[in-house]
Formats: sequence, C-alpha cells, structure tokens
Amino acid sequence: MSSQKALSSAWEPAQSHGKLRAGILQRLVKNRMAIASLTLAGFIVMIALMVPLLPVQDPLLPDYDQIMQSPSGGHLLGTDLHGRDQLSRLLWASRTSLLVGVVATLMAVSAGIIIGGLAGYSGSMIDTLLMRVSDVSLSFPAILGAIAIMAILGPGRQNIFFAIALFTWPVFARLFRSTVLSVRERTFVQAARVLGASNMRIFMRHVMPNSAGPLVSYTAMAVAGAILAEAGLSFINLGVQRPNPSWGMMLAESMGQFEQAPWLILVPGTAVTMTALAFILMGTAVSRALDGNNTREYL
Amino acid sequence: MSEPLLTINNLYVAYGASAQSQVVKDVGFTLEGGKTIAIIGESGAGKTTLGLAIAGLLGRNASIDGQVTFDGKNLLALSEKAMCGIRGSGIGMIFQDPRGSLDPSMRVVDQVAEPLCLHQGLKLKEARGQARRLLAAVNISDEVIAVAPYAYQLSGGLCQRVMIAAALACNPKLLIADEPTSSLDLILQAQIIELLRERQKESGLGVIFVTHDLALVSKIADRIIVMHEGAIVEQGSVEAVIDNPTNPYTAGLVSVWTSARREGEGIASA
Repeated sequence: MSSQKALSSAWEPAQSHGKLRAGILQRLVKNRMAIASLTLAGFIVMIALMVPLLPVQDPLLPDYDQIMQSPSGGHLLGTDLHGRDQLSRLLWASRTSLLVGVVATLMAVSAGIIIGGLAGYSGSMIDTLLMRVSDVSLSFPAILGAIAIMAILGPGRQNIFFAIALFTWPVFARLFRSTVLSVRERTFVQAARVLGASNMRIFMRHVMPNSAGPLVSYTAMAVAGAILAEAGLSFINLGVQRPNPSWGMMLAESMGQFEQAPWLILVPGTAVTMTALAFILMGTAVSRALDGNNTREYL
Repeated sequence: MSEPLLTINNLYVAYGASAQSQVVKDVGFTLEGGKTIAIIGESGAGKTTLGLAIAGLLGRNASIDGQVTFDGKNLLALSEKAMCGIRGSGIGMIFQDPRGSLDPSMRVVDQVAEPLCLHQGLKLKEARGQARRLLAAVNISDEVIAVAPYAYQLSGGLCQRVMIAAALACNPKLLIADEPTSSLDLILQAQIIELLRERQKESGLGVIFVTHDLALVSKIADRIIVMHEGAIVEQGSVEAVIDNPTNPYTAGLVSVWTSARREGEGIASA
C-alpha cells in the first residue's frame, strides 16, 4: 500500500500538467467558437457528401419556361437564368468547392512538408536554393498567378488544383521550415541520434511530428483560401467548365439580374462566405487549442 | 588485461580553421571496461564537446583530428552509417536535461523500444515488451507509464531513468554521461548514481562521467581528468588528484570545493 502511494506521488504533480490528446479535445469542446465552426464545417461537408442521395432536381437541366423564378415550393431557392433549379446547383457546387479546397490544400501541404522539411533539416545550399524558389513563387500575387496558370493550362478541375497549390505551398514550406529549424536543435533529436537513429528516421519519427502543430491550424485556413480562389477563378470563367455548377460561376451568371432576382446572387454568395468562414474559424480554434498545451511545441 | 575499451590519442576539436577556435586540445586517455572516468572542469572547458566528439555527434562545422579507438575500431574513420550502428549499441549517451532528451510527442515506452528496433531488428511490438522490462529494471512500473505515458507527465528523475533505460537498452560497452544529475535534486541524484553503478557491476560498462561536481566525483570515479580551456591539465586516480593536486588549476578547484564544504559544515554545526 505504501509503495503504491509512493508510486502515485511520483507522477501526480506532473499529471496535473494536463493530458495530451484529451487536453486538446477538451479545450476544443470548451471553446464555443470551435464548436460552432466545427458544426458548420461538418454540416457543409456532410451535405456535399450526400448530394447524390438527396432528392434534388437535375442541376444541369434547363427549363426555359421557368427562368428566374423566385423561391417557391417547386424550387426552394428559385431558378436561374436558364431555369435550372438553384438549390440543386448550389448543393452540387459545394462538392466542387470542397474538393478543390481540400485537394489543392493537401497538394500544397505535401509539397510544403517535403520542401520545407528538406530545407530546414538539411540546411546549407539546399536550404538556400529551395527558399529562393519559394521566394519566386511568393512574389506573384497568388490570384494573378493562378489566373495566368489557368489561362495557360485551360479550365478544368485538375488544373484548378494545380494552379492554387502552386501558389500556396511556399507558405507551408516556410512555416514548416521554421519549426523544423528550431525542433532539430532540441536535445531529444540528439538523444535519438545517440541511440543510433539515422537522419531519415530522426526526421520522420522525431522532427516531423513535433513540427506539425502550426501546419495543422494553418491548413484549415488554407482550405478556406483555396475555396475562395476557386470561386474567384470560376467567377472570371477560368475555373470549372460549364455547365457544371460552381459558386463563383453562379455569381458571375447572375450579376446582371441582381435587381430582378437578388436571391441568385445572395444564395451562392452566402454559401461561399459561410464555408470560408467555417474553415477560418476552425483553423483559429485548432490553433488556440494547440497553444494551450506543451506537447507538440512550436514557436 | 587486454586492450582497453576506449583509447583516445591527441584528440583536437576545432570550430573553423584558426588555432584559437580549438575547443579540445591534445586530449588523450584510456578507459577500461567496468571503470568510471570523471571529466571535470568549469563550463566551457570542452567537456561536453569531448563527449560529443567520442560519440561522433559534432556537426559538420567542427573539425576533428586525432584518434578515438573504441573496441578496436577507429571511430573517426567510420562512415556516418557505421556510426549509427555503434551509437546505441556500442556507445550510449545521456544528457543533462532529461525531460528535453525525450521526444514530447512519443510515448516513453516507444523511445526505449527505439534502439531495440534499430539494433536488434525487433518488431515494435516485441520491442515494447522488452522496453517495459527495461523500464521496470530502472524502477518504473507499468502502472506509471500506463497513467503517464509521455515525458512531460513524468518528473525529471523519472525522465532521466527512462533515458538510462533507453541508452542501456542494447547493452552498450561505453556510456557517456554528460552531467546526468546536474538538474536533479540530491536524492534523485543518489538514486541515478546507484542505478548506474548497479548496471556497471552487472555488465562491465565503462562510464565517462562529465560533471563539475567534485563531491560526486570523489564517490563514483576510478580516475579523474581535469580539463581547462580544452586541454587536460591533470589526470590520475581520485585520491591522487583530490588530495595532492599538482596543477594549480586543479588545486584551485579542489580548494573551492573543500572550503565550500567546510563552510557548509560550519553552518550545520552552528
């Protein structure tokens, strides 16, 4: 009994520091903004996933007898310039937006981790070279750069991924490089080396997990950025190909009809704003939750 | 007695090219298995650099010259890959900051298991089982690591024991302990020292103990090396160096220590 007591006193004070994973979750749950943003983003993602199963009308089918109908029982959000169901187009477009947001961001994150990690961990010439390349990429205003790429490659989904990722990765690379630079100097990296771990293993097992914190929260915000970029590209007709729906394109098509049919502008506009907002707030909430613990430290 | 475990001859370490940047100058000593050598000296004397040089952990901007023969192999001539094989299995090292030495995002069991996976080719699952036994051998029970699996949940003393378990997991022949007890309180210090001595008795481990704590040295070391500004100013048995220092620097170190001790005794008896 007494030995048990001695045992428990050995870890009790340290334990009150907070538990690792549970700590992050608890902080997330306590934070109202986190709950709200997670719920909203989760709702949008769920809807987007379920669209093919929902009893909505064909988003591509024009009906020229019913153009620019105001919201009614038959068309909950009305119809557009070509008599297509606005609700259906809105829902189908959410799939494109989220897909572009997630895939383009994942491409950018992967490139950022590889390039930033290589630069930060190897140092020297490779570091200088890679960072100058990222400088070049950063020196373009992202949206103009993406427009140029789309103009060269032509519209289409794969090209949107590429155009957006091409101007997002340098931010991830720089962010990751800076954390790697500080993490690789920490004692546990040397301790791992002294246990016989190779450079590659140290990077994969010890440096990377401890440098991931800032990336996680920035990733959510980058998804919002990519969604806005896709909307922007589609708005100027360089994004998704017609007649497939996209929020940006829906806005562009309805611009001239604002006075007769304001809902055609308000609905997709609200959708873009709410989606982007949900992801930005989610990023903020995650970064706050991570800030509160000392496990995956970052500077 | 056959060949000593570790022989160092004319070891120089410099950062940059000029002679002023030498941080270790013409160091040479030998260590036999089962013995303990203490390296003492003030901060910046080159003690830690010497330890890192032996383990091959100095960065590319350090130039090393001389001979480090460990177990019949010249370590300075080995490739990085060959050194990876020796570190952890032949040479272990523990550091001053025990909590900082453990990866905050990895369970401590896995960190003890890591050298077993690396050097003995164990699967993670088997290695974990063995790691638990190794932790039990340093008095960390399964209950503790079940409740507090991460380093930041453990006290400094527990962290240092985890480090010792990891460093000795593959039964290395040499342990470089770089001020392993400096950040711990006296009771934990005594426990850690006791632990090291046990392991030394069991396995014939040679220990290089880097410290500036003369009291500790007089208890644990077989030989003392006194370093000052990168060079060895005196070496010999504990009695010889502490009782009869021939070098004025050593005499200074010893007299500071003894007068501090006398003052302490004076306060205690008053």
